[in-house]
Amino acid sequence: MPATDSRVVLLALCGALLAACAEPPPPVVRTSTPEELDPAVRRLVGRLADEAEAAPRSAEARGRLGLGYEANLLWREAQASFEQAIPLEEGDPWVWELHRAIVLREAGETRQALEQLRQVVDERPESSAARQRLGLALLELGDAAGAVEAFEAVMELEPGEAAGYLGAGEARLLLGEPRVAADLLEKAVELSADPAQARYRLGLAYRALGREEEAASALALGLEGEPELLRDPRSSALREYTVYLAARLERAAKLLESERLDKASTLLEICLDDHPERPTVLNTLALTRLAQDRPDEARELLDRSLAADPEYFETHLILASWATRTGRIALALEETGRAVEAAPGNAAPHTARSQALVAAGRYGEAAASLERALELEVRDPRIYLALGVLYEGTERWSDALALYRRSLERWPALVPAWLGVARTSLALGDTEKAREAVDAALRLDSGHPEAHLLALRLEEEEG
Amino acid sequence: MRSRWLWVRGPVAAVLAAALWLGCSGEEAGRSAGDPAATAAETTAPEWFEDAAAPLGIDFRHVRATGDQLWFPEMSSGGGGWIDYDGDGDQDLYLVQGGDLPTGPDPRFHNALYRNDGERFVDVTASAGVGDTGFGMGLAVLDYDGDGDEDLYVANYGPNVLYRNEGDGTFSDVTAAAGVGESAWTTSVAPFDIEPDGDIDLFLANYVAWSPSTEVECTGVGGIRDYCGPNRYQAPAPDTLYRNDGNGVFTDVSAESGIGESFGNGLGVTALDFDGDSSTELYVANDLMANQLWFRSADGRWVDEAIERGCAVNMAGAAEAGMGVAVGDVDLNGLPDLLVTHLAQETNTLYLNHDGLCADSTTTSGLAMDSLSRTGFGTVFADFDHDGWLDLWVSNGRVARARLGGDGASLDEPNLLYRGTGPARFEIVAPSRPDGPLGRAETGRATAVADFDLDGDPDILEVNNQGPARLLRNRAADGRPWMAVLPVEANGTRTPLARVRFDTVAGERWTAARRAASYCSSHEPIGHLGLSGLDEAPAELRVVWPGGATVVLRSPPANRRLVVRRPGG
Repeated sequence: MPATDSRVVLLALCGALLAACAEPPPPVVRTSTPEELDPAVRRLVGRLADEAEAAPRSAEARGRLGLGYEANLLWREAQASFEQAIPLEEGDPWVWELHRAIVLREAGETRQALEQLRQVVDERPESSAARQRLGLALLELGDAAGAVEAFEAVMELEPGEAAGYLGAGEARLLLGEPRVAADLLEKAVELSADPAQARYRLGLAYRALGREEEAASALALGLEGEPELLRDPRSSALREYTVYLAARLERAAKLLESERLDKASTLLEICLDDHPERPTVLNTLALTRLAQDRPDEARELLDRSLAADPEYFETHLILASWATRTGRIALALEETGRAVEAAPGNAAPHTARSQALVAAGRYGEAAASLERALELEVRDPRIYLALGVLYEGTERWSDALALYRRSLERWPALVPAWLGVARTSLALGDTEKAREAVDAALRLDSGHPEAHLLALRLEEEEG
Repeated sequence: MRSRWLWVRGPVAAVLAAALWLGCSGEEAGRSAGDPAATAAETTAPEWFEDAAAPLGIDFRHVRATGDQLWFPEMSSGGGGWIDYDGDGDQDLYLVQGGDLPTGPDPRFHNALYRNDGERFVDVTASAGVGDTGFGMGLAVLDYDGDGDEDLYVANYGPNVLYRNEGDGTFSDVTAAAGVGESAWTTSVAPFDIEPDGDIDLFLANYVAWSPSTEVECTGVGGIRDYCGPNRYQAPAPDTLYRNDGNGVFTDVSAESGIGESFGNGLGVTALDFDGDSSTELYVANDLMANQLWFRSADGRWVDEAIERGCAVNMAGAAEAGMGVAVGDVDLNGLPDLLVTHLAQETNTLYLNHDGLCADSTTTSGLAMDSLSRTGFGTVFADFDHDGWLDLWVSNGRVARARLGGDGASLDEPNLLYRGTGPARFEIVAPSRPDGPLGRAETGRATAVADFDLDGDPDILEVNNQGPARLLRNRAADGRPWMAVLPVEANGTRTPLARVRFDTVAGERWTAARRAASYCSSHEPIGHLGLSGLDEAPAELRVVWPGGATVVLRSPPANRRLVVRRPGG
């Protein structure tokens, strides 16, 4: 055997011996009460834990297990898993450190989270996600100057994203620099897909600058925005691993709302496998079936839901919807009547009742039901629009116009409301107002077919 | 300030309504809290409070449920407050019980009145006749009939109750005759004087139009069943305004006043003079909806100006889970600032009042971090250690399961105490014992302050959901000088709201005698200032009643409770 080869063999033997003698990796983190977990979560973290046990020295496997826990709100298990992954990582463990910081923060360990984030940023200064998290943590701790630094780095790293400008704007506001803040926040509004959060802070900056009118508008438009977090290399895995029932139902609701019915259906069928008798799952799938124009299947699901809980309020409401859509008006009226009686202070039964009453041709009563629904729920634009259409249908043009205007005060970008203003203005003979409304709708949605039709009609009337 | 970290939003919005528009029913994501832990930068100090409930004879234990049905009202119950029902000058205790919702009123679960005998608290519920068995939430103490003794209004899930104090140690249920049997789900109540005409009116914060028949199913951590959040029901309740007509009868003026046209998941309410013009405003903390700040206009209508004035939502424009409200001039500019307690994952939020416009100053005040992991309910600003700066107490307790396994179903969390260190600056006070009032975990709800032992410092009543009531005797101020003023009406009953100004060499210190604030609570309405941080005692003190009636006392004595009567009576 050549000398070089024997040295290689010797080294390999020593390596193997050292590996055998080295401290064994800690046991994989498992929940102490798996029986309490949602079945989907139990399966996921069970599989990830098995994979980690099969590769006990794999940081990747431990880290993925941590992500599985994190995605399903099991912060402590996630933290422990990331803490196992970090020393095992042969490369740069920064992503596991970043996620350790995230779950520490969620578990209420804000100071430890901050410490970890500082370390990550030192190691990976080019990570905009880490910088953003650091900025947010510093804001929470009241270190506005430190936050400015973190967010300015985000601005440099991600000039096309709103996150840096938004954070820096907030920090400048806290530092009493509204003029600088306003510039930053205007940029954030421009860049953001959902600019509400930036708008609210911009309103505060305008207010501090004495620009009262702009402040009032920005504050009103800035309510209830969603935070925008920059993605890190594991964000996709986190999304994929989010399988707990409430999250899945929320995702299905969004899919249903955006009319991606097949995807909603698939997701709900998965939920149904685990929860065959759960009214919330059965009902949501029934709604999907209704939207898919499969009323028989919807009814079957509703019957199963009623069998599981005969008194479940939502089931009766959906049954009323089913009855309305399938022309069983008497049943719809009966169900909605019961629902209104059971929950007179709740908008939903009144809305359902109005639909049944419309189907029965009782338009005046339907309008009264929707008016009651609107009193109880002023935050749902669909109620305004439905009532507006009902007013139009009964030639209550002035009422309709006033209602559409009211909805636009809340949602200035609500295109159907602008079109309602146009239609009712036309009906009232005010072509100038109708033209303004159509123009506003086209500015918001240049391809809207009804807007174009109304524009044509206006041209005919004017010319 | 809401956490900007979460990618999972708590309540699934638009569920019931969405069903009708072919939306979707959904479940609420976990409203979980992390496990609390002591933190590095905390101030350690001897325990500020000692448990006095059991030694003094208070054995009340709140019950939220006997089964595991998880009815929505269960987790929010637990009220209590202070009343001098026997007119002897010291504060007696009234505690509001929950019960068992499915079975309805049950004599085992009733509210309790404890008479303060100086040495002991004695349960006089039965003889006084105030053991309401409704599923209880909060209370208000007021002299509604102007006869010089303190009456009691009890807020329930279900019909509320007004007890008239007969002046002989007993009460009569006069709800029907007085016309105040609101059957909505009332949580906190503010007695105040609308006009002001001397007749005490009532503002009722109502929560959700919930009934057992509209209960829905929610899941929390890991998919197990849990309590829902309010928006899951899509049924915020309008609040109620009762005008006292001065003849023993109230009129519901909710509709004509504009109050009833606005909806919110109301949990906390306070009456305050927000802009210092001697009129009274109302601030309502709403759970996951924008808070409201009501101003009364010249035509008698009330207008909500919270959004314009910056105290409806946090700095991010997000409506948070408003629970309780503390009021105090923490930045010493003469105007009351507001602290609203919230869910874990949100901070408790401090709105500093600058000339009637609010700024969310949570982070710069030092109040953000430690509140992020806990769910706050009852809360109060008071100068507990008599150093001249307002301190802050927050009673905590979750609204949903936080963890799996073991005591996972428990909603217990430790409370928070912050020491005021300067204008709008606070630092956390660490517990010195794990089993002490600060260290132990319970499900805190109501928090009401009073100087029950008449030693000059504010003590705390804390009512725990599914747990014991705690009476926390103040030890932080022992031996330190103070000044206190008790504003009373012409007939000698305590005024529900009056502003108090102490003129010190360092400037003006404004405080207020206030009944209504916190969560489902009623404070002893007393103006109080600790003097140990001041070079000299205040040279003057001024009491200002709603409407502007004022009494000025020059060179007021320290370490004495001063009773100041409203002029013109």
